[in-house]
Amino acid sequence: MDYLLALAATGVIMGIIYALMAMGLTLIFSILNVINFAHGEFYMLGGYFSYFLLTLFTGLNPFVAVFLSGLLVSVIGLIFEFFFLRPMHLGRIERPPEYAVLITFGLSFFLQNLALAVFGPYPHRPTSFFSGAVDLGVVRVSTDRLTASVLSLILLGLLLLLINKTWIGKALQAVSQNKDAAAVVGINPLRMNTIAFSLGVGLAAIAGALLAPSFSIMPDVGAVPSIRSYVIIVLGGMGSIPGSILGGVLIGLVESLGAGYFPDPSRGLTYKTSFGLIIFALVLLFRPRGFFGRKER
Amino acid sequence: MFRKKNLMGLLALLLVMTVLAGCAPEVVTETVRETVEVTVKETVVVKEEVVVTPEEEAMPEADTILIGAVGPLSAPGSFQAGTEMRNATEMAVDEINDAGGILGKQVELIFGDTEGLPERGTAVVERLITQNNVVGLTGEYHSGVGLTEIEVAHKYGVPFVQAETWADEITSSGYPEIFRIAPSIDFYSSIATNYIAEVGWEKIVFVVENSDYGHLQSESWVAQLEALGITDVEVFFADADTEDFTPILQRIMQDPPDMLAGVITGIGNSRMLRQACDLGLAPTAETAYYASVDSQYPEFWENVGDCGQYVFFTYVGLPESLWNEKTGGFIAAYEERYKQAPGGSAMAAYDGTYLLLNAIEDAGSTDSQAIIDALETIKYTGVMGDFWFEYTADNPVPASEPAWMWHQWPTPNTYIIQYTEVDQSAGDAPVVYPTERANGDLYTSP
Amino acid sequence: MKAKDNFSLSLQWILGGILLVIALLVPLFAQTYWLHVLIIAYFYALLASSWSLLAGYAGQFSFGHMAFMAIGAYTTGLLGRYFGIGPFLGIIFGTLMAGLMGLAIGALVLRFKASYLALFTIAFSEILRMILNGESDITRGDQGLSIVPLLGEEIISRVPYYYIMLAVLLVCMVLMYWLANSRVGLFLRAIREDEEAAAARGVNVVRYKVLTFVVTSMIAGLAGGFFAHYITLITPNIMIIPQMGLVIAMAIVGGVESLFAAAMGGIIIQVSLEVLREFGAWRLVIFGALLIITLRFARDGLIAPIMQKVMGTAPKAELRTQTDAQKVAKEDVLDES
Repeated sequence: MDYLLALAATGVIMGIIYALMAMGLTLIFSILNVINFAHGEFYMLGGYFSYFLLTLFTGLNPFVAVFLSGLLVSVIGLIFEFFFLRPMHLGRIERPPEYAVLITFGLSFFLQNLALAVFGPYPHRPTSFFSGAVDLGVVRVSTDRLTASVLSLILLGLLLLLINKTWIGKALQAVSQNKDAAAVVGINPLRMNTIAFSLGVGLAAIAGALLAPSFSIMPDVGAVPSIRSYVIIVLGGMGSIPGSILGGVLIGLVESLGAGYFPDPSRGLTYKTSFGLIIFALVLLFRPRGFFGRKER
Repeated sequence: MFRKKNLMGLLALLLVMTVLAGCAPEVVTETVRETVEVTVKETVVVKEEVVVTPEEEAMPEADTILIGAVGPLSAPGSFQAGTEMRNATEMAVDEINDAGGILGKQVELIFGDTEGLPERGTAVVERLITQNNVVGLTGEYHSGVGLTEIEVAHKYGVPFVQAETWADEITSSGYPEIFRIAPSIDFYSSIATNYIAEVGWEKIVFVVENSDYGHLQSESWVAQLEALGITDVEVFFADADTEDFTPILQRIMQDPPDMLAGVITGIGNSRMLRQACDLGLAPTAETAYYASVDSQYPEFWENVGDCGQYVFFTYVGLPESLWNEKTGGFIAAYEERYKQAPGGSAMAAYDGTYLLLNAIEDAGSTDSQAIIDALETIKYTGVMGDFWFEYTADNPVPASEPAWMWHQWPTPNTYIIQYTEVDQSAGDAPVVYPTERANGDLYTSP
Repeated sequence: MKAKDNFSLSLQWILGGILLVIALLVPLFAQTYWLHVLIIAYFYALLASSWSLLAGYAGQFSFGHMAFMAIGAYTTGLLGRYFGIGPFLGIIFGTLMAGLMGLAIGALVLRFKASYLALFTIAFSEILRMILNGESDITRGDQGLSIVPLLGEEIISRVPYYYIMLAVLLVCMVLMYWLANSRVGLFLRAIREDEEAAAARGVNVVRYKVLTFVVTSMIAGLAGGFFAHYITLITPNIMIIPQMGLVIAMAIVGGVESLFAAAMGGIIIQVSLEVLREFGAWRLVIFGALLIITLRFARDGLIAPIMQKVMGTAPKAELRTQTDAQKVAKEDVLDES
C-alpha cells in the first residue's frame, strides 16, 4: 500500500509540472489552431537559459533566473510566430495545416541541432532551488521537485485567473471560439496569436527551467516532454485549459503507476513513456476530442 | 504520359546493370596523401634484428607512417571517453614525432569518429585501411563497435591494438591481428564482485542501462556473484536517457538492498544517483551506492551535488598512488595541453598508441605480419604500468585459462575507488580494492 | 506547342539518361568508401521520394515512414535469425509486413486532419521503437541484430550492392511515376485538393488514400529490407524521430511534389552530410535552417524549380490552370467499384 501511495504521490507531483507545459501547448492550439511540434525544444531552451543565467550571474536568485529564461524564450517565440506563423493567418501560405505541422517540426529539428552545436553534448545542471529532500509522510521527494511542482501549481492558478478574469484572457477566449466574430468586436486576432504563442512557449520554458535542477539539461532533453505534452492535450481535449491540467495529472499517474506495476518489473522503466502513448493512440482513434475538447471545427 | 517504349528502354537498362553488377571488378585506387612533415630531425638507430619479410605487393615508398585510431566523438557514442582518447592519441603521436618519428619517418595519425555505432565503425575502419592505407590501428571504446571492427581488421590482416573495449569476444576471437590492453568484462566484473564479497554485502540490486554493455555486464555480475555464494541479486533495466527513475527506486525502497548499483552511462549516471539520494535510498548507512565509470568525469559533481560523497565505482586506469615516473609526466602534459585532467580512457589510448608505434619500430618495417610479431614479443613500460601479451602464436592459451586471455595484457589496471569527500577528483579519491594496492579503508560508510 | 513539348520531353530523357550513365559508371572510378556513401544515399532517396508520394501527392503528412522501414528491416532480420529464412525471401516478407501495417495505419487515419495524422503516426513510430528496444531479448535491442549480407559472406565487394540499390531505387521510382501519372495519381491529387468534391464525383477516397499508404509503406519496407542486408547490423536507432525529420527535410528541400526532386534531395543531402563531416553538429543546423526557409519561402522545394527551368516541365502543382479536381470532374470517373 505504501508503494502505491508513494507512486501516486510522485505521479501527481510530476503531473502538475507536466500540466504547466501542456497548458502552453493547448493555449497555442486553441488560439492559433497549430500544434507546436517544437514545444519540447522551448522547454529545453528554458533549462539552458536558466543554467547560463545562473552561471554568469552567480548571485542571481534561482527563481528570478526561471522567470527571466521564460521571458527570453517568449521573445524567441514571438519572433518565430511573427515571421513564420503569421503569414499563415494572412492567407499567404498554401495548405496551412500541413505547413503548420512541418514548420514547427522543422523548428524542432533546427533548435535541437543548434543547441547541440552551440552548447555541446555534455550534461549540465543549474544550482538547486533548495537542497535536500522533504518527507511528505507517504513519500519522500526532493525539495527541488516539490518546489517545481508548487510553483507550477501557482502559475496554473494565475493562468486560470488570467484567462477567466482579465480582458486579455477573455479576448483570447473569444479568438479561440470564433476568430471572425472576435475581429468584428475589435479584437485583433493576429495580436492574440502572437500573445498566445509567446505565452505558450514561455510556459514550456518555465517548466524546463523548473525541472532542470532535478533532471539536468542536454540538447535532446525536450524530446520526451514534447511527446508527453501531445498526449496530455489530446487526452484533455485540444484547446481545453482545464483539460490540460486534468490530462497532465492523469499522465503523471499513468507513467508512475505503469512503470511501478509493469508485469515484468525489470523492464517497467523502459516502457514508462509508452503507456501514455498507447492511451494517446486509443484516444485519437476512439474519442479524438478527449475529455473536454470541442468537436472538430 | 508513360509509354511502353520508355518502359522497355528502362528494362533494358536494368538488364545491362545487372550484367555489369556481376562483372565489374572492384578497383581500389590508392590515394596519395600529401606529406605533412618531411624533416627528419635525427637518424633513428635501427635495432639489430631487422625482420625481412617478403612483401606480397609492392607498396609505394611513403614518406610518413600512417596509423589510424578510432573512437566515439559524437552521440550516441560516449563522446567524453572518445574525445579524451583522441586527445591522448594525438599527444602521443606529436611526442613521438618530436623525438624523431618512427623508422626515420614522421607519423601521421588519422582519427575516425565511430559515433558509437557498429555500422559506422565498420565503415571508418574499412576506409582507414583501404583508402588511407594505415599500417596499424589503435583505440576504440565501445565493445559493440569493436566487435565489428575486428572483423574488418582481420579481413585485411591489419594489426589493431584495442584500448578500451571490454567484451570477452574481442580477444577470445583468437584473431592474430587483434591485441587488447583493457580488461575483459569477465575480469572487470570480478573486481566489483570480489569487492562486494569482501565487504560482506548480501542483498544487491543493479539498475543497468538497456544496451549491449548493460546486458553483458549484468549477466557477468550475476553469474560471478552466484559463484561467490551471493544469490539475492535483482536486475532492473532502464534506457540510458530515462529522465525519472523514481518509480523503480520507490519499488526498491520497499525492501532496500545492502548495495544499489546505478550502472548507466552519460547523463543517467548523475540522474539516478541524485534521485536515489533525494529519496533517501542511497548512499546511506543501510544502502551503499555503486555508480558507473562516468563518475570520474568533471561534470559529475556539478550534476549530483553532495550526493556523490561515499559513492564508489570501478576505475580502469592508474590511480595516483600507483603512478610510475611516466604517469605523472603524462598527466601534467595532458593537463597543460587540454586544460583538464585525463581519465582512464586517455591513459589507455596513450599507451595503446605507444605500443603500436613501438612495435612498428621494433619490427623495422610497416609490414603487417612484422608488426604483429613485434607486438607479440613486446615489453613496454607505459603510463599504466608494464605491458606484455602473455598468450601468443608461440604460446597459445591453455585450457585452464579463459579464451579471452589471447593477446590480452594480463594485468589491466582495474580498481574500486570511492569518493570520501564532496568535489573530490578521481585522482584524489582513495583506492579501496584490491586490498594489495589499496590506500584507503575498504569501505567508508555515510 | 507540340514541337516544344516534344523537345522538352526529349530533353528530360537526355538529361535523365546522362545522370543514369554517370550513376552506372561511378564504381569504375570511385573508392569503396564513396560507394558506401552512395548506397546509403540511394536508400534515403528511396525513402524521401516515397514519402513525397504519400505527402506531396496524396497529402498525407505521415511521420510513420521510418517505422515502416524498420518493420521491413526487422522482419527480415528476425525471420533470418530465428527461422533461417534467406535474405531475398526475408525482404519480400518484410515488404509485405510493412504493407500490412501500412494498410492498418492507412485505414485508421482516414479521417484525421493534418495535426492529428502527424501526432498519431509519431505515436505509432515511438511505440514501435520502444517495443523493439524493450523486447531486446528477441530483437537484441541496442546491441544490434546481426543480419546476413544479401550476397552471402564471400562477396565482400561493394560494387554489386551499389548496383542492386540503384536498381531498387530505379524500379521503385518507375513504379511511383507510373502510379502518379496514372488515373490513380489524378484521383489522389483531386482528393488532396478538395476531398469532398472528388468524393462527390465518385472518386473512392477511402480506397485511394489507403492504397497510397500501402504502396509507400511497402516501398519503405523494401528499402529497410535491403538496407538491413547491406549494413548487416540494425538497432532501433534507425527509426528515431530525428531520422524521420531528416527524410522529411530531404523531400521538402528537394521538392515534395516531384518524386525525382525528392529523390535528388535525398542523394544530395546525404552526400553533403558526408562531405561536410568536419562541421559536425552544424551540418544538421544548416539543413534545419534550410528546411524552415524552404517551407516558408520556396514551397516547391529548391531542386524542383531548377528542374523545371532546365527541363521545362509543367508549372507548379498548386497553380495549374485547370485543377485536378476540375479535371476529375470533366472525366467520367465513376469508379470501377
